[in-house]
Parts: sequence; structure tokens; C-alpha cells
Amino acid sequence: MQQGSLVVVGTGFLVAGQVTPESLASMRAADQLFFLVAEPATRLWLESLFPAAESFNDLFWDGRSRQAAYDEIVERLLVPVRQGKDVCAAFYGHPGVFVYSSHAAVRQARAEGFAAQMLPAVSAEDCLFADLEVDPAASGCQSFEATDFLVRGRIVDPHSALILWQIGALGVTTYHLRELWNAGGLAILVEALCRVYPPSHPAVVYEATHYPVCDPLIQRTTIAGIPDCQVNTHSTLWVPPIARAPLDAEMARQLGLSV
Amino acid sequence: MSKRSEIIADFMAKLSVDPGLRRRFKEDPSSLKDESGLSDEELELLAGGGPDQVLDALGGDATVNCMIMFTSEG
Repeated sequence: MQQGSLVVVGTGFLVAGQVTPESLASMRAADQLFFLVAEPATRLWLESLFPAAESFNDLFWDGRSRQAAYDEIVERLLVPVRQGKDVCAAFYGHPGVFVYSSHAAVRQARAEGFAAQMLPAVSAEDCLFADLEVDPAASGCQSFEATDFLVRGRIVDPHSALILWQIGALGVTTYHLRELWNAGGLAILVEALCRVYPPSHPAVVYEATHYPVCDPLIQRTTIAGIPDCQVNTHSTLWVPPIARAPLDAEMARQLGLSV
Repeated sequence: MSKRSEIIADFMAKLSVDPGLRRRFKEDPSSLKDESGLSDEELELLAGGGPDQVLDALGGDATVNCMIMFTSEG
């Protein structure tokens, strides 16, 4: 194993409140810390603890290809690793959920013979389960990135819950400063969902809070009402099951269950 | 970022790791004036405002929309 290492961690969604002790220790132990967070309080908090930390925010500007920015993050992380430094990269949320660069950097570091590790953290999905007080194990839970859901024609079981991520950024591959990146996409999404659910079926447009003084944004609506909600790039859609799935009595019998 | 932004961010960080402090803030924001280093006006703004108001108090920052996404190409 070569000298130099990479560890990627997550800061969750609540300034310092969802940073695990393990992640904080990794940030403290690093020779060089990089970070990408979604709002200024977390950035200022990180900079107060780690004055030499470097932000990736300069890689994003209006109209830039997201993929180009992600590739540049990977390269910036690998430069000090190749110089023999122990590098830590902190991303908001969970570093392994909706973060291309963290996975790519870990793979690349290992391919070059360096130690690399990803640590678990609090994802938006974890916040959603807590804030909506829903249990993904109760009826099962399907989770798709919203654009992927549409363009790949994902098959949905309406007897399980459905989570769609990034419903405000349908079909957009560049970075933008505005809140809602594709308003027209919402109408297309609703049309697709109405092929599976009644228009009157409940839905929740959800956004985790970044601040301990604010509540999460929970907009209870219907499938047809989604376009009327306040939707931005952080919005996630939760659709509860239509009904409990029918029971396979023969399977239950084989398993020794009384039904 | 201004010094005020740093003080507000520091207060947010303290609130985020201390449920007791958060409870006191919800019950009576002005009681934390000395501890927070914030003015009555700033505390009222944080207590009554939504995320946009907090963002403004922090000096605003375009990085709020800095989403990390998988692309669906390919």
C-alpha cells in the first residue's frame, strides 16, 4: 500500500448536529480536508474548526456541466493523496448517496494503490423517515432518482411506498442557481405517476431542514397537486402505498405462518 | 462572509448539537442573547423566519443549490 490515503465522510443536514463522531475524528486526523456543503452555516462551522479546509464550491457555476465539476472534484482529491497525504473529503448528507465524486475518488485511489474508505452518515432518506414518521420496512420502499425513474420507465409496485429524488431537477444535466430547475418536468412526472396511482392519491413533497431553528418542509398533497407545491432541487417526493399487498396464502402456509 | 455571519453560524452549530439549548431558544429566544452573542432582532429573525430568512442572516450563498447528483445519461 502506498503512502497517502482518502476517507470520504458526510456532514448530514443540520450544521454540526448530524456529523458522526467517527466522521469528525476523520476530519481532524486528515492532513488535508476538502468539503462540499449546501449552505453557509455548515461551511462556516467547518472553516472555524479547520481553517485550512478547502471548499469545492468554486467548481460550480451557472450552466456548468455537473459531470465536469464532479470529475474535477475527483482529480483535486487525488492530487494530495498522490503526494502521500492523508486526505478527507466531507460532503453534505451521506457521502455514498447521490455523490458521484466520492465513489469515483475511492475507486480511483484504490486503483492507484492507496487506502480509501467511505464512512456512513445521515442521508436525506434518513431525515425523511424520521420527519414523516414512516417506516420503509412496513410495506417496502422503492427509491429512484426522478429523471432515472422517467427515462428508464421504472416499474413501480403501488403496494409499496415510493421515493423520488430531485423532482425539481428533472432532465437537467447542468448546474443552475435558480431554485426549480425544470418546472415543465413536474407535469410530465405527474402524468407518469397517474398511470400507476389515482390523481387523488396522497403524496408528500419533502425537504429536510438545514437549520436547527427551522422545521423540515412537509407539503402534503395529492399526485395531481404536486405541480402546485413549492418544489426546488432539494425536494423529494414520498408516495405512500395504495393498499397492503395481497397475501399469498400458499406461501404463508409453506412458511408455517397462520393467516 | 461577515463577522455576524460567523456568529450566527456558530450559534446554529451549538443549537444543532444541544437539544436543551434548542428548547430554550424555542421557548424564549431572547434569553440566549448573551450566550449567542446575537441581538434581539437577530434572535427574533432566527426564531420566526424560515430557511430563506436564516440564509439571508448568514449573508446568503449560492451554494444552497449546490446539489450533488447522479446523471441519467448513458
